[in-house]
Amino acid sequence: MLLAFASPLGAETNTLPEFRVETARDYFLAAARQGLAEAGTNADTFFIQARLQNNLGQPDGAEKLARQALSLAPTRADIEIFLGGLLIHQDRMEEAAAGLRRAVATDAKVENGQRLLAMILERLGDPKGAEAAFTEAIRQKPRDDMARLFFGRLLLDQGRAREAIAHLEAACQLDPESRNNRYVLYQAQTRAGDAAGARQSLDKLRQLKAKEKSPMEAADNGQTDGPKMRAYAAEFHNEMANLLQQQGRTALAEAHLRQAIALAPEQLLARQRLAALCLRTGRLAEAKELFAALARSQPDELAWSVNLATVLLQLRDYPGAVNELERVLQLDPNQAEALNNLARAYLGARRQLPEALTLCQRLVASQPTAANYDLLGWAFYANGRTNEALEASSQAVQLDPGNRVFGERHRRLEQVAGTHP
Amino acid sequence: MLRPLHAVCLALLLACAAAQAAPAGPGPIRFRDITEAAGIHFVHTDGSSGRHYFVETIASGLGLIDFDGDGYMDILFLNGAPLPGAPQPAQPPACCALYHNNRDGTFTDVTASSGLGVPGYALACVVADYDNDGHEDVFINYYGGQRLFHNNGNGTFTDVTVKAGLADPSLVHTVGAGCLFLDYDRDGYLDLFVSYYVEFDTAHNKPSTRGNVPNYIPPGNYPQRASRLYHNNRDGTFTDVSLAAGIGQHLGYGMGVVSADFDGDGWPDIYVGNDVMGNFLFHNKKDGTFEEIGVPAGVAYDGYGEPQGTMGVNVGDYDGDGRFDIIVTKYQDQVNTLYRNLGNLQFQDVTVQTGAGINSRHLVTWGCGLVDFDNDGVPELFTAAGHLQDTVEQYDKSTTYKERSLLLRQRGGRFVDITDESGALAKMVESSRGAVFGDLNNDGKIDIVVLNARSRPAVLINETATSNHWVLLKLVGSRSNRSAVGALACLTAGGRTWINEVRAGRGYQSAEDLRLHFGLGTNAAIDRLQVNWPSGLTNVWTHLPVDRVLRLVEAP
Repeated sequence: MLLAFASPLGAETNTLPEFRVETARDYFLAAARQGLAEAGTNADTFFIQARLQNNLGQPDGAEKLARQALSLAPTRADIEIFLGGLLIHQDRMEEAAAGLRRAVATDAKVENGQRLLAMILERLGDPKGAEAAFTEAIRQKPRDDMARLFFGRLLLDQGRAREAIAHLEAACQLDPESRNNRYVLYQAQTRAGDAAGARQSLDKLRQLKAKEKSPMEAADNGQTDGPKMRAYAAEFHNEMANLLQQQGRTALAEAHLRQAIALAPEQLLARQRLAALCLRTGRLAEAKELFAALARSQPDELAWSVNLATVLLQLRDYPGAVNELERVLQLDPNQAEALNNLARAYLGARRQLPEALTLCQRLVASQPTAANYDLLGWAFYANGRTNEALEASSQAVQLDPGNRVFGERHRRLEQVAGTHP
Repeated sequence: MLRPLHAVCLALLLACAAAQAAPAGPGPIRFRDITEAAGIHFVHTDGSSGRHYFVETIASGLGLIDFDGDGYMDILFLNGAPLPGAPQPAQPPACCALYHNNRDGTFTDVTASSGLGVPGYALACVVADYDNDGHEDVFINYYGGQRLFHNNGNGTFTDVTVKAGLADPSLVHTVGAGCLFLDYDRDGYLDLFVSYYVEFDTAHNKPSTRGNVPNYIPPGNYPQRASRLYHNNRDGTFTDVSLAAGIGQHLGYGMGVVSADFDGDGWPDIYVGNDVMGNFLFHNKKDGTFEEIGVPAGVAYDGYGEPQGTMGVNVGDYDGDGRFDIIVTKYQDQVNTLYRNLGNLQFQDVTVQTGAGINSRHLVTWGCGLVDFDNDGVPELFTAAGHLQDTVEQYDKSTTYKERSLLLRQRGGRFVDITDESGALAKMVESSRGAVFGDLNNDGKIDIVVLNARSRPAVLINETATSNHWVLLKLVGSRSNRSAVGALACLTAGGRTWINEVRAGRGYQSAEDLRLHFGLGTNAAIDRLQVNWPSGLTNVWTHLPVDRVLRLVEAP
């Protein structure tokens, strides 16, 4: 049975067989063929398919497609990185190293490039090269706890336990729940003769271990990889949607997003992207429903509520927006976007104006940007404090003199205050 | 605390460590497969029926045993048995097989007369003389129970499980795993350590699929079980002391086990490889109890804190520093892990620096050993390979059910893959499990016997062309246990010193040659040999000849 789905925009449609775990491979084959037809022969299409092949345990096919992608876009460092990962899994370290060197030469800051290169160089017996690459990886991304873990391990293996400890402590701070970070820190402290530190790390390690699920609890009792297959399919559709959106093929992109949602409803990325797409194409009611569903499924993820409130503001549903934003600020009183939006909601609804002013003052105190000063000016004005409004507006103009909106608002305030001719 | 003589050995070794590099340009290490020519017709079965019973994945280990005491290694192949749904068994039904070494390159199947051909799903075995009567006995760990076979000294064995106090109905659904003999209390009698994998009942098999292809479910779906320690009562019976000894409290997914004196204190410790969780290191506290120190010792997880799917474990001194290092085999997408013993019960994962994990990532690996195949005094690393998922090719093109095993040699401080040049070993593409190392023809070159799941085994005779010297030590305890399990030999020749220790039960659920092998390089004489016996006695010999088997008896 063929499953046809058309986007509400109606310009383009796509057709795929129904996804069934038993015939998943046929589905992937058809999806790949269709992807090529829709997005054309380009590096991204091949790259998306290479990632799909890799997920499906087809490293040869993945490598071939990645190389095709690279032949069309020889300077794409992200593809080189992916290819490097494939080669590492096949113990083809020299080839992987060559590719990763090309990748970081092309784009020194490519995601994970320096760290992966460092790890390969270490395995190839080049600790000096590895050290240089780890150092660069950490310089570029100081909060990369994995780079710090691996670099710490390298230093420890070279007998430089004290230097290792600095990186491993940083890794533990960045991810305090990581057993891996704590385990290697414990070893480094032991080697460095830091008995007290080692004891502390071992205690923490035992606490972390106690919190871990037992193998039986962690086991995949589903006894089938159906969910995994669905996730791979959803990932493919997500990536196709992203590519098609970049190509301006909004209708097809939307169809892929809807297919991703249908295949793996528990995954939120497609819903998020679809909501954003609806917002961009002016379908506010649908965007509202999607963000509301996201907020319900992840109540602790405040971004969904903030986005929902943004949509509600655009729909001029001020009470709804206020409710949502007040909930966010209860959970995180300094959430800047919520402060901003709630102030706007109060001001837009012309209610709770003193609270709006307080929110704007808090916002400016934490983020003294031109936009926030402009908003503060609006709040002062709404509270009848024109001179202070003028002062805040003046700050906004000083901080962003080229912004015509701020300039116009300032000019009007001056007129109201009688300071403008 | 280090015993003084052991400390001297260690100092010598450390002084010589810099001179450990292999001679320049060593020739290839080559093996010849003599299985067919030797008259070995054993075929392994895992009893599979297509229902993918979990237990099928791990069968089986094997053993080397000199059951008739003629100085030549005989071979015990372990076998599975038909599981529910399997085709009617052939006549006679599959069982373990004992092959007698005819000393002329051929073997004779003596299973029927030996008494070892008992039906059962055999997974692991260990060989040693538990009652000190001069004959090597056999313990076999099955799916559904365990058995001790006493060697009657006339080519036959008697099942003495019940008499020995080792029968246990609670094991009826237990999947047995690695087992070893050790004299943990050094009373001169061998005790027994047994690990178990999971609790599994074919009636409650959990089916699993991958991409609509049937396969085997991971072990985490079944309950764990703790290992056991049985104390030898010196009267042919054993007592389960697991809880009192601090062993029985630790639930695990036991696989391979090995015993060694890791801290040089003269007391045997026990390392247990666990699948899908941290490995255990039971440190012998010299008072009949053990402390589990896998995490603080650095051998529970790999060097980055990740648990491995450990299959086999073995011990050797890969860097010649006088301490016993550990090699661990594993599941796919992990690498074989080499732990260097730093002393003071601290280990370092040196897999990355040494390259010991090379070319192993796509494999599932099992039997393993650090063995000096070319007698240059520097051990090679062998690992048997083969996936446990018989349908893996249908959903994962990066690996196959039948794979080539791996042979690595040390060159310039790193391991390099020399499988391609290894003759018959390079041609063996099987789903291998247990692997044992021993000198089948007493020519001084260590041979390999591999048990291949659902297939014929491989008897690989070492035909490496080398003029390097060697010695094999057959140690015989008098005050110590007769098999000398736990005896430490420290050998010096030409300014170099090596150590080795007698171990019963190691690798992947297997039993190796109990004799100690030393490759001596160009050294044509042994300057000094010191043996520290488990009894506490120390014997020293000087100016011993090489290129022969030396039988050395513990002297008071």
